[in-house]
Parts: sequence; structure tokens; C-alpha cells
Amino acid sequence: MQNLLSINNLRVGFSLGGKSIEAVKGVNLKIGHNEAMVLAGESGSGKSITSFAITKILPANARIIAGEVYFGGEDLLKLDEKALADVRGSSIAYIFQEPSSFLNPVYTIGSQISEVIMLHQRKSREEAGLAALELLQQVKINDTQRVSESYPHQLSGGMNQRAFIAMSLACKPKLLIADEPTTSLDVTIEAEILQLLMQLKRQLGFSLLFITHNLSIAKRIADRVSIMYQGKIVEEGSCAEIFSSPKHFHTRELIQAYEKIGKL
Amino acid sequence: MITYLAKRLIAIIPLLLGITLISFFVIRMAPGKPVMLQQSLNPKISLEEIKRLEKLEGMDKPLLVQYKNWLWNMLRFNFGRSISDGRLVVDKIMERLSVTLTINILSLLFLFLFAIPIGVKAALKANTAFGHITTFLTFLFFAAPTFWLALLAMQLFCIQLKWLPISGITSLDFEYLSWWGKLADLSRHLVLPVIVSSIGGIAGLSRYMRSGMLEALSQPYIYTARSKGLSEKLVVYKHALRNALLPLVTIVGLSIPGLLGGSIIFESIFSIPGIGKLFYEAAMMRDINLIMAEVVLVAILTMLGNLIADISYAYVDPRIRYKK
Repeated sequence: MQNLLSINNLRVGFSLGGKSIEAVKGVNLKIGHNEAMVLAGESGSGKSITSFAITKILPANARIIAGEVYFGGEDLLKLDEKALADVRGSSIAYIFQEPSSFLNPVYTIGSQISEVIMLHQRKSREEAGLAALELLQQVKINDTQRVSESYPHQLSGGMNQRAFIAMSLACKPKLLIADEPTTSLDVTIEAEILQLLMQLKRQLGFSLLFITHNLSIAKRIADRVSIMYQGKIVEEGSCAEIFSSPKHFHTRELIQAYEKIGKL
Repeated sequence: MITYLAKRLIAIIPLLLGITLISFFVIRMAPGKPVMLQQSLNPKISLEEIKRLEKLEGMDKPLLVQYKNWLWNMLRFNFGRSISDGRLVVDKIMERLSVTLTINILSLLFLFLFAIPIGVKAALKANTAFGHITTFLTFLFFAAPTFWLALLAMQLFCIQLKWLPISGITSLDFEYLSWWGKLADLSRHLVLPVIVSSIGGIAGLSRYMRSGMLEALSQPYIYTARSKGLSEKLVVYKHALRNALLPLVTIVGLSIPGLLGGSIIFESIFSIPGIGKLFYEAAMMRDINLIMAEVVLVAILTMLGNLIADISYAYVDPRIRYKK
């Protein structure tokens, strides 16, 4: 089966105070259609930067040194800014760590969802507003009208993340990149959000690149797992393979750490 | 909202009482009596006459009684007569108000018209030659004293190039000009005062805008905006700018008292018959009624400006709007 996304030898550098630091050192990653790939690793291992590099939404001081990101037969890294913008939010969408700060504080939830619909589907403001309400319903929000008219600070973290998921799924992306989407939420909300995500994935049929440092989440949702360590992917395999017979010492360390506290 | 407004307006009353009470006493503690003016111009004035003058102005009574009388008159919008020429204080202020107001409103408009785009551009090009040059220029103009810039500008544009009139707000033949001629004449006189008075502010505010914009551009929601596929223009002007503009609302509110306050140095240099000059002269002549009217005017404007800033901030920032 042909892969939906394949990242080949991706290298990303940062310039910090005149020095150049390589954060991602030659990452190879393949994600199949409808697959849930979990990219796991400790903080600072380069997971998020890898995911940001896919559509080049990197911070200003980061630079892609080398690599290819094939998506639908095209190398995204070779596209011009305009063509890449057409991909962002429509075929590849993101959800992030802290929904409350990744949502713009001065616009309502409804208008932030409508914005992406108006942009990619060329709908009028009214149509987009209605579509936003439907999307909010899809992520199991009951009082859609109130949530749509609310500002992010008026809603809980879990509610904001639901709204964020609604926003990222607005244009039916083929790939959803979720960068630690439950890290800032408490455990019960985390479970709800994960359940919602996996249910939507079955329902809508998108591929998922899920980034986490939490192996128990990886075990729960992953089809395949990649373990990232110091800017490289050190081990990759099916969920069962990784957890039953980890090969790399870092994978074993991570798993042992989780087993020690009884979380796996 | 209405109760909030009422509370804030009521809070102005004790503040105003405090401000006027202190000013009233401080002015009277300063050396030199208001009647000294008549005294010094007339060497033949007798002691009885001075006493009579003081009685006429109500200055023979105890200070607290004087303050009470002044307060009572003020509440009826009676600020008394100017001691220097006997004209009504309100009239003297009103005739100067339009000039100061015109110049200050124009320079405020100038301020925002230039400071915002310069600040935004400087933030977007923070690490380029353009960014460094604007940083240098803004610091230069921010640090340069206004009176010095005014003199340099006058030297260049009025004396050497002879493009603009050097001082005042109208030419000698103003009365004989047509309506359009009057407007043109007035504008030519206002060019330098408006530009020079706004230039320091433009420099300061654009630095402020630049840092606000840099701050906004580093926020997480900017990544979201990019990840949604918005063009860089929309990311900057819709998502970042809106957030960066919020603090400016406070600055607008706080500049309201300055609108009427006028500037002494500035109006003196350009010989502009504005409020600033009026009150400078009032202070020099111990013209108590005029000084107190100025104090009340500026105090009320400052407090109203603060109130307007708070209300409009709540209006533009939803995070404050919905807090109880």
C-alpha cells in the first residue's frame, strides 16, 4: 500500500544566539492511509519540530536543512508558500497542546472555525457559520450556539480542545497532526478527548500523527509507534512489536519507567 | 455596566475635591499675592487700597472659607474673573481652546497614522537593515528634545527654504483672505507645529507598537493561524495586529487630557496663542482663578480619560469584557 505521507531524511536546524543547533537529525517516517502513527519520545527530542516541519510552520529561527516530505505525490518542502498554504488546514490539519493559548483570545470560537471554512471551501460567512455549528455538534458539544459565540477564555480546556478539533476537521483533512493534544488537560478529560479523536478517525477516515511523551496513550491508540530520541527516530514498529519486544535501549528505558509506576 | 459607570463617575467627586483643595492651598502658599500685580504697576497705591482690592476679590477671609466660596462658584460653573484683565476665566479659556485642540487632535491623528504602520513594519523586519534603521531613527527622535527639533525645523523650512511661515497661526492679512485662502493660510501655519509635536510621540509609540507586535507574533495562536493555511498577510494583520493593538487603547485614553492641556514650551516657540501659554502667563501673574480653572479642567479630563480608556479596553478585549 502506498503511504499517505513519507518523510525522508528530514533535518531541521535552529539558530540560537548565533549558534546553529540541529534539532532533527535525519528523520524517516511513513504514515499509511487511515493509520494512527504515534511519535513518542521525551521532551526536546524533536517530535514537535518534526511535525511543524511537515507543512513548514516552524518558528522564525528554525530552518529546514535537508529532506523530503512526500504527501500525495508531491514534495511539500518544494512547494511555494501559496501552494503550501492550500495544503495547510485543508488536507493536513493540526491540533496543539494548549487549546486555550493556541486559540486567538480576541475572536469567538465560531469565527475561528468559520475562518478556515471560508478560506478553503469558499463559503459565505453565513454558510460557514452554520457549518461551524454542525462541526461543534460532531465533536459532541451540546449547546453549540453558546460555544460558537464564546471566546476561548470563557470555556474550559477540554471544551476548547473539542472546538479546536472541530476547527481542524472542518475541511476533512487526510492527515491530522496532533501535537500532545491532551497534555494540558486532566486525566478524565484526556480520556474523553482521546475517545472522541479515535471515534472521529473511524468515522471520517483520516490518518493520524499523534505526538506524545506518554507511552500509555501510545499503547491505547497507536497502530504503529515511532520512538524519537535526540533528534532521530531510534525505533519504529507496530504497537504490539514495540511494547512486547523493544529493541532500542531508550525504548526499553521508557517502557520500564512506565511499568515501574504501573501506568502500562 | 451602568452601575460600574455610575461608581466610576461618583469616584471622581472625592478625587476632584482633594485635587482642588491641595492646589488651592499650594497656590496660596507660593510667594506673591494676586493683588501684587496691581500693586507693582502702580507705585502710588496705598495700603487701604490694597486691602480694598483684597476684600473685593474675597481674599481677606480665611483660606478655608475662600476655598468653600470658590467651590460653591465652581459647582455653578462660575470660575470667576481673571485678576490680570478682569475678563471671565471661562471666556479666556474658550477662545484659546480651539487652537490647542486643533493642533493636538491633528498631531494625535498623525501619531496613530504613522506610529502603527512603522511599528508593525519594524516588527516584521526586525532583523533586517530596515529594522535596524528604524530602530536607530526612532531612538534618535524619541531622545531629541521637541524644542530643539522645532528650532531646527524653523531654521530649515522657514528661514533658509522659506517654505513655511515661522510663527503664529495666521498671517497679517488673514482677515482679508477668502474662506479657502484662510484655510490654506491656517494649514501652512499648522504644518510645523503639528509635525514637530507629533514626531517624538511617533517615535515612542512605534517602538511600543513594535514590541507589542513581536510579542503577538510569538504567541501560540500564530502557529494555529499559519496551520490553518492563512496567508502571511492575514496571520499578521488579522491575528497578530488585533492583539497588538489592545494596549494602544489605553494610550489613547491617557492622551485625552493632553489634548486640552497644551504645551508651554511648544506654544511659546511657535507663538501659538493656546492653552499652554495662557496658563503659563496665569501662573506668572498669580492669576488664581485662571490657574484653578486649569487645574479643574485637566483633572476632570485626566479622570475621564482613564475612564474612557478602561471602558474601551473592555470593549475591545473580550477577556476583560466578560469578567465581572
